[in-house]
Amino acid sequence: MIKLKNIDKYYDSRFQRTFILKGVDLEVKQGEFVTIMGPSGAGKSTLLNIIGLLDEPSAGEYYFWDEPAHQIKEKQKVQYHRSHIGFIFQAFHLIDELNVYENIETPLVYRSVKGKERKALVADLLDRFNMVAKKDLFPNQLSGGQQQLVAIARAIIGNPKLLLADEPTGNLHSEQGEMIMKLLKKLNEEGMTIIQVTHNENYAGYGTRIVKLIDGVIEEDFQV
Amino acid sequence: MILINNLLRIIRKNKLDFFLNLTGLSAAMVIFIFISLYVENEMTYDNYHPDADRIFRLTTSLTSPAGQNTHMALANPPFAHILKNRCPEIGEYVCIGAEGGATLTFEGNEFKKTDLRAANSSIFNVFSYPAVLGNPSEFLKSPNTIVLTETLAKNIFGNSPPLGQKITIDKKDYEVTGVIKDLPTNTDLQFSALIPSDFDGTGELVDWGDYYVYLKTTTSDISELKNKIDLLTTEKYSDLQKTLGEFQLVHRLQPLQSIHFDNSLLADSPKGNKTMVYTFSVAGLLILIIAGINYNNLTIAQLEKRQKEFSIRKTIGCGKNRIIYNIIGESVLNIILAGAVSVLMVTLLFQSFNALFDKAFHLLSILRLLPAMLFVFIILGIFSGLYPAFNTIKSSLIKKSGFSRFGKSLVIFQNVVAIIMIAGLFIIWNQTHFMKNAELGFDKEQLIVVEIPPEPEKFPGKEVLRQEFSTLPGIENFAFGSGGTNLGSTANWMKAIMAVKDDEGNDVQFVLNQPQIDENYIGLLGIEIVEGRNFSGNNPGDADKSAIINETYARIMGWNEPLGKILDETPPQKIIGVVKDFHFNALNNPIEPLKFTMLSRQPSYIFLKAQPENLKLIQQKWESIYPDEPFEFQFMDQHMAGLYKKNEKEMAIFSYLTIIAIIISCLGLYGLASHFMIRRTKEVGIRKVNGATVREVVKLLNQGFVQWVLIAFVIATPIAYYAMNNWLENFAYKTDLRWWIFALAGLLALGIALLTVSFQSYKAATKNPIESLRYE
Repeated sequence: MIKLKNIDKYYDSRFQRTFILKGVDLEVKQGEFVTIMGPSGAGKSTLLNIIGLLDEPSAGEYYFWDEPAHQIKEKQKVQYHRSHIGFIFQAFHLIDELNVYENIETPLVYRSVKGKERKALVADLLDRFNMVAKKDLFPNQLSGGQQQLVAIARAIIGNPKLLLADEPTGNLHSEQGEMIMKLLKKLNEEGMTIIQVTHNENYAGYGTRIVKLIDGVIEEDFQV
Repeated sequence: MILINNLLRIIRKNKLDFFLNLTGLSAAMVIFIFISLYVENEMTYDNYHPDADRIFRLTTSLTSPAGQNTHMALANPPFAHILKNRCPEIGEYVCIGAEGGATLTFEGNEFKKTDLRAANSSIFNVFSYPAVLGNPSEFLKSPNTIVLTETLAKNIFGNSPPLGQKITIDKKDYEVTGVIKDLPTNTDLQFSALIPSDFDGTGELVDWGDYYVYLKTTTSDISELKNKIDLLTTEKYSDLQKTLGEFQLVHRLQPLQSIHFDNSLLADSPKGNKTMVYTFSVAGLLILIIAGINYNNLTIAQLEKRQKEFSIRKTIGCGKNRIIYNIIGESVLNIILAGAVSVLMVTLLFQSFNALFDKAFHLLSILRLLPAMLFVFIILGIFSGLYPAFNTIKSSLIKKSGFSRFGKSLVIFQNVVAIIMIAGLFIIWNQTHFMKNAELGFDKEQLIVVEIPPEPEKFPGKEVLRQEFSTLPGIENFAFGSGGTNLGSTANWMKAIMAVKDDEGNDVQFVLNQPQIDENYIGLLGIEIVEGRNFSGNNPGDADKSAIINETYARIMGWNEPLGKILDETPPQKIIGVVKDFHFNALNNPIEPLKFTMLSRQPSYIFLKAQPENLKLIQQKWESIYPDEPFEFQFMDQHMAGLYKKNEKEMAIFSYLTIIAIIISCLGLYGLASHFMIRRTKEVGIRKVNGATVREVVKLLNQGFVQWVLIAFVIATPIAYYAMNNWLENFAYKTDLRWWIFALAGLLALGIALLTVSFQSYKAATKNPIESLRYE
């Protein structure tokens, strides 16, 4: 599903080139649950952003389902974001002005899904995540775990093939963190490909494979 | 010092904000300074004389039996002489002639001036005109002397001493006995040279001339004097009153300083336009307010970024007051800086300002306002710092992603002003265009009007002129007109104030224009005869017993069948024709009643229908007939267009004001939008990650702005409608206020706002989301 070939990411300053990622080769198959681990500044988020088409590699090739994703244009990226990739973040990144229902609905609006269908899909997810009672609340009225639940709901409502999670539990205490990880695992078991970045060894255990990144280079890559 | 250092650092960090702020503020200040100068100048006409409050103009009011009042600025010099002898409260009086044109010749060089006046020597006792050269007590005392203004003296004599030199006017020599300082622009009594008046204070009361009489009293309380004037009028005019019939003559006193805006008098100097003074004041003030709003909005947005700084300052022991002082101090510095830029701009631009407003300000007279301006800037700075300062203190660290209600209403206010001004400009433009291109009722194209010198001894006779000119190639038609048949400037048409009874026996009063023409005139100008016939050279009765009137005359008199009516003149005139109403005046005024009679005097104008390229031929012919007289001519179409110069000038000024108001609004909106976008970057990032396209994001970000412009449109339209409706009342013939003008103004404002904002929202929408979504 995802094939990275010799990916570099660097910034040129006046006298030297600073590498964030160097010669990264990575292949992720459909249905995998990959955890990227590594110390701060190792390039985990950058790698995730490149996979999510939010950032471009400085060199190397990236194939998303055999499509050369390092060559596609801005407009096509929007298409990928609409139909193939879902994101969740450490800081949840919900839209403060919209309530739970509207936040989850947003991606469908961009996919021009009809009102009735949107209603059904959102209701379905709210039900599944046990959040029906909270649908009219605003993000600042929710706990961190609940906010992340909403964020996940929003990420998966468009039925993406790939879910990218950047430290999804970083802002949560352990109980809520576990809940989120269990949910991700369940989604994976239902067929969703997931790539997550985390510091937490325990949470890495929920995945099927761990990739250890140190100073922009893959040090270890093993199945759990 | 710390304050200034800190400010410099902040400026360096926020170059765009600083630039927008400075540009907007200083542009508004330039406008404000200029408009203040203009308004001050207009409001202080003639009050530079130290005794201005004790100087009055004697005017004359005639009331017809039907109660119609004619108030003239002119008065009777012999009566002034009597007044002076009988009323001790009159210290001095002076009789000043109307402005006249003449050619001053000195050593063969000719200087054409239109502002010569004749006056008694007492003019220097009534008014204060500081002398530069010569002995003021001798000015105008002896005949054939002349007093010049400094500029004119310099023009004529250059650097050589003017005193004692002889200037020739109309073949008479005048000795220069004095030079006075140039008159300020804000006087209604303009002149560049004075010669002694031939009025010597005696003479019969019926000897009127074109004289303005000014009195200087010993006190500013004139109630007593008014009574005396009334008594003297009854006493002295008793004989005259008999000849006037039932007309009632009264002399009035008009305070010098009230003359400029009082346009109810006939034969008066050019008047100030109070509407314009008010309009420009309001526009200038609004522009300043808009700039102030921008300043507030931008400052608040900027301070928000500095919340962290203030919080840290507070934790290390900085008091609230100190933060407030700090912010206000920065604001004062900012405004003084903008003030300095604006003063610089004013010094660079004041020449164009003079040209635009027909003023003659000197740089010094502008710079004398500097201390006052500095004071205003400091006050302005304190006030514009107050709101942001308290806003900062109040709004701890809560981040809002929209505008505050205050910010919103300010943007709406700006747009209201912009829409009103745009709509106003469209309507002014439309009206001016309408007047310049209106169907006048006669054919003004290729019509050349040539002035005939008035001296009878030079006049070769109508037949000779006709022969000479109509045989020229390219001359299609030829006619004479008299009594100033110069269309468009009816000032020297023969006019009569008519007070007669119409057909139903009602009293009617009106001004009747009575130009004299020949039989070719109506045909040449293409004026349509709707009833009856034109004059004919073969019909001897037409010469003095026939008249042709216009429709308005017939309508006012209530004549359904005007043909054959006999007018009560000597000899009686029979109406032989009616012409369709045509615009001989500017369209600001309604068409007045008009009566053509056949030329009985020497004509004063030749009307030629000719291609402009034949002008040279006409001129050559002219010079062969009149070797000593200049060839004075006018194209009628140019002349008619020239009637609207004043309107066009006002339009130009208003356009500048509108454009500057819009630019300043845009600057503010641009700055505000940039902050607005910064606050929404996170949201934009999330939306993009969730599949929003750039276009969708731009649309979302622009939505709010569109809403506000729509609200502004709803508020502005009725105000603009009301204001412009009032403005159009000034014109006898006006365009309609069409709905699309307002719609267009709204659309334009929307377009401008969208353009301004879209640049920012596009920038925000194309920003890479990972920048905004990075964990904070």
